[in-house]
Amino acid sequence: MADIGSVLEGKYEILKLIGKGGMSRVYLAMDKRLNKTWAVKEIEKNARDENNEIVVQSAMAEAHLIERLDHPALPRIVDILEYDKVIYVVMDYIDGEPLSKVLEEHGAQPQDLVIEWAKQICDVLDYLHTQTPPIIYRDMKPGNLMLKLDGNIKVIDFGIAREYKQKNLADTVCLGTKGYAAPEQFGGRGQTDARTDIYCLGATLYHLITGHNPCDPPFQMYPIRHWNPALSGGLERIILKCTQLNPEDRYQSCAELLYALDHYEEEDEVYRAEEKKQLKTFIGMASATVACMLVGVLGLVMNTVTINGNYDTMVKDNTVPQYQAAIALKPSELAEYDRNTLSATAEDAYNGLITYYERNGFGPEESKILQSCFSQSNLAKIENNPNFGALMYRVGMLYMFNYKEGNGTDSAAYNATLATNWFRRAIDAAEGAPENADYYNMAQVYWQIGTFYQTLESSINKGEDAGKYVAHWNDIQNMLTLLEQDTSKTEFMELSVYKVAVYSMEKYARKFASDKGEDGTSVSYAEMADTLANIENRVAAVDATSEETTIPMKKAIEERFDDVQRNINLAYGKDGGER
Amino acid sequence: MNVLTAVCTDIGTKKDTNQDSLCVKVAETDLGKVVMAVICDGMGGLAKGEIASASVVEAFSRWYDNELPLQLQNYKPDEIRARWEEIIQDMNLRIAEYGKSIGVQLGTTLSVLLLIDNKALFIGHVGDSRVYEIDDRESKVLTTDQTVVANEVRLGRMTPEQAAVDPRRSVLLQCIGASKVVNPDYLMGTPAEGKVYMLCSDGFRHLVTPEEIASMFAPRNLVDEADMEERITALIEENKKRGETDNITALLLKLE
Repeated sequence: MADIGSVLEGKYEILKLIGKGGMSRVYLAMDKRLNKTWAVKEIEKNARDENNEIVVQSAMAEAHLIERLDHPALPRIVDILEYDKVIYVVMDYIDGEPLSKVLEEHGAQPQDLVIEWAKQICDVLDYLHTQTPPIIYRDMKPGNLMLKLDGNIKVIDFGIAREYKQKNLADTVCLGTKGYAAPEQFGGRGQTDARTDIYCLGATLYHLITGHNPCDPPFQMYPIRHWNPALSGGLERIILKCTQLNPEDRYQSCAELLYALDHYEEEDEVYRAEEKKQLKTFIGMASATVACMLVGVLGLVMNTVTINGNYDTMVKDNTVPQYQAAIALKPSELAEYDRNTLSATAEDAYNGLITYYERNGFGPEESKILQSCFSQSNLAKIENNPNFGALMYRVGMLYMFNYKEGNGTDSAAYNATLATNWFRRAIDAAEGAPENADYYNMAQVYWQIGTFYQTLESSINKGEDAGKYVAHWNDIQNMLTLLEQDTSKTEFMELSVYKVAVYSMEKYARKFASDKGEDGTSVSYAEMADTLANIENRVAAVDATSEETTIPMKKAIEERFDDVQRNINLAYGKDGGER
Repeated sequence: MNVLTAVCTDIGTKKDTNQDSLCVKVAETDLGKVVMAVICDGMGGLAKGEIASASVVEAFSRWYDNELPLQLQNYKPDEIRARWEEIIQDMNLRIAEYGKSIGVQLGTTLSVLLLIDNKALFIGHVGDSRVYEIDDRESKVLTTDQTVVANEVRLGRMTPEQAAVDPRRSVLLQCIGASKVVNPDYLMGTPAEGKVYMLCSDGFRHLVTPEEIASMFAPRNLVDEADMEERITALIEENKKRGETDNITALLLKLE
């Protein structure tokens, strides 16, 4: 067992134990030369697995197998050290949380996020399945998926000395202890193939989107809309198809599944079209009846009046349940928009809900409700409304600036990634009618910033990050300029923007210094220093009034300035790194 | 009332360890004969399943020795059940905790039967071990298997015939030590003189029919304890001959 503080190969200093399995331990280690952290997995050579077979052979073979894999969603193995009694496998340390923990803390996850994750997982599984020979992962579950701080997914516990071999399942096992094993994984008889991973992925998505573990009572997977009727019917069908007991009935490859995920809304369309057809038939029959009975017509008119009356009362109630009810009652109702203040002139339930969350706080729980109100099917009902883009912009702003994680961690970058989908919708809507879209420029900048955070890691891993930092720097400058011109900005919004800017300057100072933009120049030291000084002045000028939000926020930003300056100095080789 | 008991356990043909644990205790009390029989079928890697099964058996054994006499002085059926619930939940946490500390997942089934003379019968049950009640005509399973396939059959999505050959037939819905939440089944009833009660691990019953169990252990055929033990051994051997590889354990009580 490695001692804390010991150094392997004069290079990897063991910092602490971060995980433990039956025959392996995982340590956090610091690469003393590169000043970079790694995860080091220690496997005892004499360890035997559950079948009493020596682990080391298979561990070495697998480590070498994985060493040659290269995918942004897989941790890289950078070194394999063999000693008398143990093997150390040095690999990427992933800073983030396993989705099992996210589920435990926040319950069901928003549909948009789950679909985005699903696509990433599908992509990596497809990569594995198309290796020669194909690699079957076999243990897909939320506990093996790390949600990184940038919102991307990494698949961990990739095979090395995984305490789980197929034939173990011939013995009595308890449901859930082996993840969401597919039927063919039991009994040691069935052949596992790509479709096994598809089953486990389906079960994983089911758990993520409903918050219900398929291994807990009622011990079966219901269609997901049983738990939340606002979820997409298309997604429901995808998950059902993934989790068919018979492999023949599932998607046959990850490529096929990925295609379905890319088009899940169309699946919705088909579904809706069918539903509409039924509804039309029904309405046809109903109107025939109505035509016969004049009293019925009168009744209908009365009914509409009542619905409108109810809707207004609900919206005026100014509570979340009433907003939800109002949206359910009239999902296509969207009020006019004031171009100057970017707020709704008349009350509608969508805008009412956003305003409510802006004022009363917005976190994972609230996000869930919002996602269900702004479901795919509801969005489809308002997307042709001229005010749709502005509404989407407001949702984006809500995520970007008001979203708070339960644990209160700094999440400027994470928020920006959450907001990208909404800004994208706002931009798409404005592109049809740019003269109507006052928010267009802001949405564009926020979207670019969010996308930068979201895709950065995968760009780095693919070696395609060149030029991205300078572009990001320009986005930050744009954001600061647009903010200055914005007449409706609030102290909260202002501080949030500075927070994002300071975050990036601190984190990517080195990159700004070395990266080259399209014209071949990097960000200059003077530019960085000026921007920082400018932000310092502007932060100082913000008159923070809220004990709960803006005052601590302002303080937190001000505390970063010294470190940011130090990082900038270091990045540009200025003396001492101090101011 | 008199009670004859017999037990037998076999490691089986393939495994390195016997992870089944059992215990049977008989006492003379003011209420008459008080009998407890427990069978636990452990599971888990690195031969740790036997630790799970043995600790649950021991917990019930300690309860029988130390607490049951007091509970019987002021006999309230509900309190016995409440105490069992506490023991099971406590063991679930302890075993999970132990498993975490050594990095192995382990767990166990539990079938416990308590007879208070011919007055009361209690069963506590988690997993797929079974309690049978056998008379001269038939054998009846008193417990409900908490397995994936049994659940599928109950939901009407699988026939018992399909369940018998389904690869998931050994997958439990819950067990003590590896489930976040354990919801044991409890049964109460009245024992009948002249009946036979059998507890067994799943290895004992996959490859023999209910009719075979009924005829082998019909009360009129059971002469004495030695004979009972021979009969269990015979059926265990038959199981192995038919290809069972699991640990095999059975326990018989005959009420006279």
